[in-house]
Amino acid sequence: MRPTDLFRISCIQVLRQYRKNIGVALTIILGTAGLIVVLTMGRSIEESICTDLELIGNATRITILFKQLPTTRYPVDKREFKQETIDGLKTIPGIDQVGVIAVRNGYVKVMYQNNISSFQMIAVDDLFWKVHNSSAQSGVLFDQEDLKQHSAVCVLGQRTAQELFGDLDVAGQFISVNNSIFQIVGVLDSISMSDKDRHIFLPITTAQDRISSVSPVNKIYIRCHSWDDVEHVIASIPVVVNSFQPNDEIEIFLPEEILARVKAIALGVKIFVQLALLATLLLGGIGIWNIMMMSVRSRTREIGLKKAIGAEDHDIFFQFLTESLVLSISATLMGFFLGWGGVTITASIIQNVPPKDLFWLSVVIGFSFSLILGIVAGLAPAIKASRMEVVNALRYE
Amino acid sequence: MSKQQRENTLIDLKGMTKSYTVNGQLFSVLPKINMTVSKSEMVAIMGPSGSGKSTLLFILGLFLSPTEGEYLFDGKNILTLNRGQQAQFRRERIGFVLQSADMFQHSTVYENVEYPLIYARSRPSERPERIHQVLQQVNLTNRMHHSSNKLSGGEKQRVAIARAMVNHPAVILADEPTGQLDADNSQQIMEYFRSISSTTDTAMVIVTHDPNVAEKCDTVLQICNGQLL
Repeated sequence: MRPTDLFRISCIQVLRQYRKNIGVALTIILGTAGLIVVLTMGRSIEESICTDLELIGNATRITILFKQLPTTRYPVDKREFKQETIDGLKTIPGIDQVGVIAVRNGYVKVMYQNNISSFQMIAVDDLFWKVHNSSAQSGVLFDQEDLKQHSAVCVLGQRTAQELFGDLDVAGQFISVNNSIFQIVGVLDSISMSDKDRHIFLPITTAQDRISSVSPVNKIYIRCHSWDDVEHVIASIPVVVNSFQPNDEIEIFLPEEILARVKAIALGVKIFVQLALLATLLLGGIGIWNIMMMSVRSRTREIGLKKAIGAEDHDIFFQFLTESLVLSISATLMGFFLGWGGVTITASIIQNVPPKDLFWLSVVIGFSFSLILGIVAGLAPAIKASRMEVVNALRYE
Repeated sequence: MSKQQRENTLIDLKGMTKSYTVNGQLFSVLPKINMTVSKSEMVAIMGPSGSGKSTLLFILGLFLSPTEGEYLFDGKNILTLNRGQQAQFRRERIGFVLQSADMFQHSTVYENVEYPLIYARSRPSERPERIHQVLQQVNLTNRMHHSSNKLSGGEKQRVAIARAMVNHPAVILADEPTGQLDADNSQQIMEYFRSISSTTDTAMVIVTHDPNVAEKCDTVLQICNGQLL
């Protein structure tokens, strides 16, 4: 049989027998759509959950600080991380962000109109926000330009803003911190640093200029790209620090228990998504195989007749296989559009737009699966049909 | 057999036997049949149900292998053909018409007749003319693009004849071709067979119960208890 005849006949048969094929077509359409949605959104949801878990738990955040000194011997701790050390840490593979802070022991006096309160102050750089994945609940967080310009700006913790201003919008207001005037640019969100909601944050450069007794940079926060990088980064830190300053005084902290828990939850999510996918694939495959086998049985006389007029075994084999492929591929095309709609709707419901790459990857996987499904599901029925004896087929009622 | 007879002989069965073993017991369906069919000859095979008529027809079409015997077709032993060669033989030398005039479902009259050409890998450009020609022989050109499901029994049988004819076979094997038709349609079908046989040199082997059909054939063979009388 010529390939063009094979394709034409298969398309005609699939189209004209649409009533018989509607069941299997629906199975494939829904299976493919489900596959695309589960693959795209499943991974997207999984990534989103893992990222949220990791950020909430700060599982990939490493803290480097100096060991505590006996206060009687060293009333003022002057130890600091050199800029070269900080720059050196940034070169370790697997590190995403490095932020630094300086602190002032005790409280600062903050005044707004006649309202005077005492709060703790932290001087930070702009990368500090990124390491903690912080965002502004209102206004903005000061940035690199503010640090460069030594701008007299500040960010308030939520309780700080509440105590000073009540429900007023604080962005743009001016306050006095230890008798220096600062403009409030924003209020910090409540999630990223819930333990620092009664703090006031100043740019490290400005604080060192204007506020007395601010320490040098004595704490470094590191955010790793992923969990897998943590172990390697921790091992590299003492070596890098030692290149620029003595490393025997530093301590490294990692929330190991949180990391372990987050990993366990993420594994659970992954297993759930994978099981859902496996179930979708199995159901689709079994459905097609079953319906193709039934089709061979119901077309037994047709097979006998075709062999009686001269069809060879391979003609019958390829016709059944091609019909299976035409059916599965055309249904997959429809499933693709349904899946597209499904992804769009799901994305809008859960407010999480998956990356386009992930969607197209799912489409490629969906089509590959459909092709394999068409071949695998059509193979056994096609072999059965091609090996049928003419007499048995012609006598079949 | 004279040289002329030998040259004119299309089918020559010698000592053809077909038997089955069921539960260790041997059942003979056709014991040592001898039979010849000449080119353009119309042969009727008659006999009661279960006498082995259809089995003989299936052996002639190479759908069944005989247990013993020799089958010469146009002077060549064709029992040695492998599965692929048998299919080729059926495509090129045999046309087959069944009692129930089975049509390919969901296909038009044209497509039904086109199938043998497709399996014979004929050029698509040659097909319309050949299909038109055979449909003209059975007076069905006006129904060419109708769905075969909507045809009457007689029309379906004419389509089956056209389908059997389209590859210009040397012989048409028909299994009760008029079994489900009324007298008028049976008469018409037999006229088509006769016309085809005389104009194209095609032999006919027709299995039938109907004496009216048999009397229109050149030779009538009776099978009784597996014996050809």
